[in-house]
Amino acid sequence: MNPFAIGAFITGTLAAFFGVFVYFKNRTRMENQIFGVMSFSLTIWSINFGFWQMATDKTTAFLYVHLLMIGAIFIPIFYIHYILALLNLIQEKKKFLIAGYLITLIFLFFNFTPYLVKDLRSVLYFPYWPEGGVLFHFWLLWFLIALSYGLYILIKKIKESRGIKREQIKYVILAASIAFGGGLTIFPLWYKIPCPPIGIFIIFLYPLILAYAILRYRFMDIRFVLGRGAIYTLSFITVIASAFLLIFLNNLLGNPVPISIAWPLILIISILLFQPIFRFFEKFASKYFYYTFYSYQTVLTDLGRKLTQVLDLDQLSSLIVNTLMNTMKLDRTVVLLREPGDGEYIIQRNIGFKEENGISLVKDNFLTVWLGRTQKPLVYEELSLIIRDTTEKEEGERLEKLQGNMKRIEAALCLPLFIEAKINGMIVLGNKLSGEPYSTQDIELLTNLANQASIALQNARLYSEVKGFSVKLEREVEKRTKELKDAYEELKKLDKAKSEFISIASHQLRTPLTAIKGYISMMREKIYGKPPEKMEKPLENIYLSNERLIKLVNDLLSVSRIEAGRMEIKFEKLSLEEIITSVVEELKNEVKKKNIYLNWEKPKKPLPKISIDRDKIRQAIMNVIDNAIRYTEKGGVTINLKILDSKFQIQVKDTGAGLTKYELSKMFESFSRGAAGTRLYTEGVGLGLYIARRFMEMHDGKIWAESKGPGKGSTFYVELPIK
Amino acid sequence: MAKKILIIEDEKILAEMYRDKFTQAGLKVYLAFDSKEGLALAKKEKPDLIILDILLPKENGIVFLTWLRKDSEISSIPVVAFSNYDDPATKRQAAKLGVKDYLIKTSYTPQEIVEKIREYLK
Repeated sequence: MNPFAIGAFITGTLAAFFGVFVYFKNRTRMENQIFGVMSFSLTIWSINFGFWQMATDKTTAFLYVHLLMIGAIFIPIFYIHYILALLNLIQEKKKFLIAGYLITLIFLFFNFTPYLVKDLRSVLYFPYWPEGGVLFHFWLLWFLIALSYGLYILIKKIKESRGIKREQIKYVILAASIAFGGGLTIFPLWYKIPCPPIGIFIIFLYPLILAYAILRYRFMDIRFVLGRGAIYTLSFITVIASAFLLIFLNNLLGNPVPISIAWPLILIISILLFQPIFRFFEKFASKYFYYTFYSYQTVLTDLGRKLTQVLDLDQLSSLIVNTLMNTMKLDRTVVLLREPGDGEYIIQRNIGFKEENGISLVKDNFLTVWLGRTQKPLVYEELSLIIRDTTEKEEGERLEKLQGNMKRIEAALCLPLFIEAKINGMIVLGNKLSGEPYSTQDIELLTNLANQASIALQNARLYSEVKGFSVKLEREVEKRTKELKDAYEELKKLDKAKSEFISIASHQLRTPLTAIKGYISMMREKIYGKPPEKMEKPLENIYLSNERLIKLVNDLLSVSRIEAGRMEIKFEKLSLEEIITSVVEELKNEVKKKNIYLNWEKPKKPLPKISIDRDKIRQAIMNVIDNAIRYTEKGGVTINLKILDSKFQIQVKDTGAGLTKYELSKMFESFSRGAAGTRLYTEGVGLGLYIARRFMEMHDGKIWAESKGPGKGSTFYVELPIK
Repeated sequence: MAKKILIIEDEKILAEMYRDKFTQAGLKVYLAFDSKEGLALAKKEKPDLIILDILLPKENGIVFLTWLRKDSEISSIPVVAFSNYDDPATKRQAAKLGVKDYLIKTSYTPQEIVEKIREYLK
């Protein structure tokens, strides 16, 4: 088998494969249908070309030439038809198309006559190369006209179109140039010009590129295809050239290696060489073709990683917009986010779009509905296809409106941002500065990125909400603290006012009390003459009542000072025994009047002096004993003093009203009185024991009471450390 | 010769009450109703003891004490503060200005005061 046969079989197989593939990809589209038949004719041509090259006798060779010509005759018209379908020009160029088919039929009719292929003859190293008849020249002319005409329309259209269409046309031009350029190398031999038909080896690129153009035109980066195609072409040419060089050298040296061995050997060498050569070119080209591609993927992957590290909403949006703009070289980008709780869309970050334009996209909520439904990025270039395929009239109209809007604001791509399958924002991209369309890789990367961005943006929003909440909380706490502080200041003022009031009131009360006390005592001293005997008792009562009032005022003053923290203490070394004696002395009259006893059991040996504040200790002891007397109606009160565990202990034991557990727990608190107080002694306000307790505390002492219960009497204990 | 006592007291009822008691107890009593009057009387009569109220109209008892201590003629006269104004800070000030005692009026009968005065005059 010679390499031309191999090349032809490869081309034929590829053409058949892509033809079938494209056709079944979308059978309803005319482009695909025509591509299918065009590939079929190409297959017929190549396969028969292969068999013809393998033919060993003239008759067989002639048969295959006729068969391959059937394919060849159809190629130009299908090619034209395909281009017209691609460019939506079929209606416009209907007459030309019909004429082309008629011409094709005429040539087909003459195929098996000598008018098209006259005979076979040996040319170069081909034993059965055809010789053209009269019509062959016309057919070649028609072939060239069709080819040129196709290229002409394509080039004319490429100037008018942009975006995807432009790319599509570029591919078709590329494919046509490669294929027909290669195909043309077949014709010189018809005219005995010794040019080998090496183009056969690159014709297979034609269906390959066109298949790409149809199936993946939008999704294939032109640089990638061009780069890949160029490398394959270069590799092929290099391998074939080397093969021919070897054969040429073998010929030149008088065939030292027999041809039957040389061909397979060269074929094996070529196959073995192809891979390293291809790699070499690939490496060489990758510097230009792949470098940018891979780094751009890396950048977007990196961005995905970075997104998870940023928590600030503004920073995050800026990161997305800036990275997309710089990496993909875009003219504009905007991030739109929905306010929490299905609120309005707001522009989070925008470069290039006019503010009102960015918002105008989402004002008509059709876009968000559409994105929510398809869950896929919306590409502007795709919209015309979507509109064409839409059966619902209303939806079509709305899509057209959206298309108009996107065109007006120059938006090329809308990436939805989803959280829990609900659209909550979008990234709108403008066009690439290079004018290239978005490729499959772009869309895939952008989709992944949009997913990551959705999560990151949602996190950022939650974070900012939490942060906002804590700031709010802090402010609230601050506010409350201030309120509390103000309230406290107010209370402090009130408290001070209260203390001052008590202090002044007490002073004001004391003046008349002093006058009463003074005059009564002087009357009782008979300074104003001897009062009638009957008056002695009332005078005494007035005096005692007045004393009670004086004591009350003193207690009030003490309490107000204690509570205002203004009570001062003055320590002196004093005899506790003497203080108790003076108190007992003072209370003697009271006891006599109640007809109860008051036993002061003095210690047998004099006790040491102790460091205390005379007035306060006296007042405390007075209050305790006075209290015992007041609540005792029968029996009496016994007082004793002793040293116990390096402490002075005063015991005041009465046979009086006794105390309940509740009273025991409450009686040393301010403004409380025992239940018996209301029964037996209604004048007290319960300040006495409270003051006694506080004064004892000032001396690091203790005061408490014990009682077996109501009616069973009580014992009060006062304890002072020896200091 | 009877001892001279100057009572500086704005409450007329109290002043007269003490005057009655002290006179009856054999003391020579002078009454003043404010600090200025008190100072003038002190200079004029050179009393043996001054009984001084603290809360007085216009200049209070403390002011009177500073005047008295500055005037060498009378600065050595013993003074007993005699007031119902039971304020620790005021008590300290009075002590600094050399009062012999700071008595709370309601705590004592006039007889008890006389006894105290006799002690101070010893």
